[in-house]
Amino acid sequence: MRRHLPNPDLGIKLNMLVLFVLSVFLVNIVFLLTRNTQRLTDQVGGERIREEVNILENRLAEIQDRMLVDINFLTGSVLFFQAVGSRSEARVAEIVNATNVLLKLDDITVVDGDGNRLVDTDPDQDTTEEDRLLALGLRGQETIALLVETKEGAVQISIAAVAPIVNTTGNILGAIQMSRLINDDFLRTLTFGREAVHLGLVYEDRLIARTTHDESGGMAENALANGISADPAPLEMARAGQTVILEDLLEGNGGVPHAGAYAPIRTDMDETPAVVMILVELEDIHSFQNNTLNNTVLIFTMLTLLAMSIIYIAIYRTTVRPLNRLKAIAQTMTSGQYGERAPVTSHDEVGQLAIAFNEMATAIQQREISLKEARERAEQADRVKSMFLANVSHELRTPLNAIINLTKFVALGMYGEVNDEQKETLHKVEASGKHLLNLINNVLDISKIESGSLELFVEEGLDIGEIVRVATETAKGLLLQKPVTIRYEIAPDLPLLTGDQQRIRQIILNLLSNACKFTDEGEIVVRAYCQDGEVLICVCDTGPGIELKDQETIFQVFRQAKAGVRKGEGTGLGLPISRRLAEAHGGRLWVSSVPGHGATFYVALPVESSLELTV
Amino acid sequence: MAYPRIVYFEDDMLSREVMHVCLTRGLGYQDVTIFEDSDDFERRLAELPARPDVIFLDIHMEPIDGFAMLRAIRQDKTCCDTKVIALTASVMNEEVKLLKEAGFDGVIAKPLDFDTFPSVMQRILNGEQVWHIK
Repeated sequence: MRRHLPNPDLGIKLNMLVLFVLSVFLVNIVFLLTRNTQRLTDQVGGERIREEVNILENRLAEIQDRMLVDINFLTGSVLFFQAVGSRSEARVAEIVNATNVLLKLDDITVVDGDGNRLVDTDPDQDTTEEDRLLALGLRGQETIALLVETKEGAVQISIAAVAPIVNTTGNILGAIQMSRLINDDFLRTLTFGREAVHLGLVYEDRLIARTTHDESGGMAENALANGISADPAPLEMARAGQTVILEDLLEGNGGVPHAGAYAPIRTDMDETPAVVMILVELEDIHSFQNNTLNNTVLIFTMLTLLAMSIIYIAIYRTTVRPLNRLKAIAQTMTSGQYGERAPVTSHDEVGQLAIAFNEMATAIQQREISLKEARERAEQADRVKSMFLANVSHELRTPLNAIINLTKFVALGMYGEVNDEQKETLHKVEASGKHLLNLINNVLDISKIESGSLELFVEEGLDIGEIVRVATETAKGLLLQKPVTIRYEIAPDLPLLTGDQQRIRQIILNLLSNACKFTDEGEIVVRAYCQDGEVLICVCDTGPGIELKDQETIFQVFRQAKAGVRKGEGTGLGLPISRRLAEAHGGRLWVSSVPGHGATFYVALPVESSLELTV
Repeated sequence: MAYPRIVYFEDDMLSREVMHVCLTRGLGYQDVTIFEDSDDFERRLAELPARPDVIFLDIHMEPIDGFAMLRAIRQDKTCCDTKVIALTASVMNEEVKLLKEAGFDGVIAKPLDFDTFPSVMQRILNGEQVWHIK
């Protein structure tokens, strides 16, 4: 009967809800946190890379300025331009070497006014580029340029300063070039040893110098740090002379974000063949981001578990446990024990429920008690009434036994001869006694029917045809020499019925005696046949019939139609009793009559009876 | 012709008279014994010259009621062929039901119907169970 419902604990259900809500919160928080730290990383990364680019560019400009200062210091020296003017290689070399002890330049080349080398601290096989620069110096230009040379198959790039060597009169005596090689060490001096900053010198598409040698095996030769290589598009823009700061962070090995930029090395020349690629590792922010996220998730999970435990315990204590108690008490009440009451542990809805429940239990208990008392009183009254009826029946029947029979014995002449007048009078006494007996029986029947205590003596296998035959024979004695014939028509296929034989006979006899009483001439026909699962018995007479308005009255207790009242016989109980008896069998009893053309009473009894057998 | 031996226990004087007339004058039976009460009825039954064929019992009797008498008679092995019929004015359905359950062979209602009594008597002697008599 009970549907199969899933039945987890109420606390578990609420916890599921809490878990769901907090999970949604957590996802949101993680999302927001990630986005915000991402923004922070972007911001910090942007600031750091701009700073690095500034440092780098300032430093390069500073180096270039310094080189110009140095070269001017040298060319402004009288000893030096005299030595050059005299084309004394030894003296020039002496001055240059002495100066370079301080300056620590990678190459210093001095030529005389004809372009002949007086000193070259780092002689090259291919001096084309160097010569081109020195030619500028000989023409009186003082400039900074990048010197791109190939040495032992490797490209080397240097920052070079060129200046003319002029005497006090303004004559150009020669030219000087000094250059600083941009190699790994040089780049490292630019980072001031900071490990998070990686610089690489890119020429064409190759890294020719770098602060860090990426040890992550298998990575491209051109990777500067953590597997990140130069990107051709921004590189091209940088070569065109523009400093490019990458807007998006680059992701290196291990997910570490890097801020990146490409800075061209600007000189006095138009072309900037070399670009410095800058990467700033944002490892600290990255780990801050990760730690924040991990901590948040951890704390939130712990808080969630704590909240769930608290909620579970709270729900269990305040709701689940009291409800379980209520359930247990309701079950004991269902089994008929009303004494138990639920403990009221709070004033909240659950507590109020317990209070209301207890009030209901008390009300039910009281109602149960009063119902029980009422039932007992009713049963007692019923017993008293039944006993009274049984006693009345017994006490009236006992004297009637003597009245009816002793009168009959006298009438039969058993106590001496009686004359006809006496005999007739004695018959009247006997008939009155039998009428009184009938009246007693009817009053008992109707009072039992009215109190609902009529008990049928139910048997199966009742032969309605036989009952009709016997009843018809009995009824013949009631016609009293009236010109009325009586006959029966019984269908051959009548089924056997289940019911109270005595009561069914009583119904048929009652209908027959009524017919005999009211029919003064003609005939009475009793028919029994089977129709629509019912056995129908109809008693059809040629009496005066019954007015339409009386056709229901005659079935009311102690009510007779006028014709019946005039006859002065009968109790007014026969038809009501007969109808109730038919109904007690699950059947019906009704009349059909046209006044002046007789009446037909029908009794219908079901073939399939739902009555329980008495024995 | 051998008449059936009839015994009747009845405390009401008029009922005894009615029954006596019915049996002796109505049916012409010769061997009819009628007792006025149930006191020491077993001894009185045993003192009879022969076992009765039919015993009629009133139900409301002193000091032993009809049901107790029936139980005693049924326990007596010598009376196992005797028909025991209740003759009572208590004939409402539930009362008849009690009689049937107690093991009576039948019931005859008071007032006696003198016209149908001979045929009922014949049915009893034939060994039929007789119920529903008004």
